Amino acid sequence: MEDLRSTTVPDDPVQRRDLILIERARSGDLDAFNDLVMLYQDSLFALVVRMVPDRDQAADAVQEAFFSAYRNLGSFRGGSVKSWLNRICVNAAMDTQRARKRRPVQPYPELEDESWQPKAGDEVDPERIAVHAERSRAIAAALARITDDQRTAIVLYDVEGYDYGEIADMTGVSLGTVKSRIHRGRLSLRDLLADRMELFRG
Amino acid sequence: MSHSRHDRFAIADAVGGAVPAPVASCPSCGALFADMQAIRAAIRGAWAPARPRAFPLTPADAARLRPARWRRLLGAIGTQRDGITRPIALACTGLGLAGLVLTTMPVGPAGATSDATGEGQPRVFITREPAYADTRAERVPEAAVPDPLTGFSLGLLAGGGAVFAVRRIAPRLGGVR
Repeated sequence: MEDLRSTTVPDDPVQRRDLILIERARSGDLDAFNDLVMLYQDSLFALVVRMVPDRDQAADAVQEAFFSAYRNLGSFRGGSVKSWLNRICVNAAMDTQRARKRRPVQPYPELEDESWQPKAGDEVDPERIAVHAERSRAIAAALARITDDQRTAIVLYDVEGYDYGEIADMTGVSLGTVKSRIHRGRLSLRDLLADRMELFRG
Repeated sequence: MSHSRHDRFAIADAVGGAVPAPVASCPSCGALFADMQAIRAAIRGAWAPARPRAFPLTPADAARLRPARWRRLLGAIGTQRDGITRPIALACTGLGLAGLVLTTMPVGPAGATSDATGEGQPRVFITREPAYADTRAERVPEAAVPDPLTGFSLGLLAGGGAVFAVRRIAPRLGGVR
């Protein structure tokens, strides 16, 4: 098995740590793999739950993604562990979306009030927290009502920061289709949120 | 030009970047652009719902997920996408096809087609079956026993096709998409 540290430039301490954990996991150390799980489960769940706006289905997709990552540790070819895990999670989320399409269509359920998770370091002013939570709820509800393809493209582009080419590669469509999905999705979101725009201004 | 004729997609495309031309002169386009900018910022800053559980693997999960030897082999083939297997598959398929063409190609006497006196005569095909073997008891149908070169070519072709097939299915069985 190749030594991953020798094939990359781990100047970044986070990457170096991740590569060490991956290498230990590849040699059979389950605790090392679970350290990676603990490090990335929050950010990966946040990514998947935006693509699959149902907490239980998103959790199942993330669990499947970690299973897949463990099963395929041997296929990791160096580079960023976070990007590798992100990509596996995006695939798992798209599989979940496809599975939903095959079943009778039901709208995504409303996310319960107590489920919102402020980012670390966010404001502590109760009024601002309430506004932010309301904003997040409105955004999540609107995102749940646009198409899966549009939502995936918008989340990957606007939230995760992938470029058009990377999204085209991940989703298996052309660059033009990715752009079209993002533009149509943005226009749909604006139409859906037209009555609540005061929440987002200022 | 009225707002209804402005390109809404161009405005959506510009979100997060430079302000497009109609936005400066059309208040409705300006409002649309500002709204989409605000929504984009809100999406980026939105809180995610809290995850309902943690996802560490148990030793039982790990035992179940550890790939079998044949899966690891397939995975290795699948992930060596452009390294070794592609040239091997191409070479096998190419040689197999070439062998098949050679063994089935009709071969005439030298200069047969350019020889004016040979025109109209039936073309001669290579046959590996001597005429004196033509007794009803001994005659074996040609299709049942291909000659060694044809068999070898078919084998190469099948091998090349199999490697191509494994390269396609291996990532699904043992690799990450």
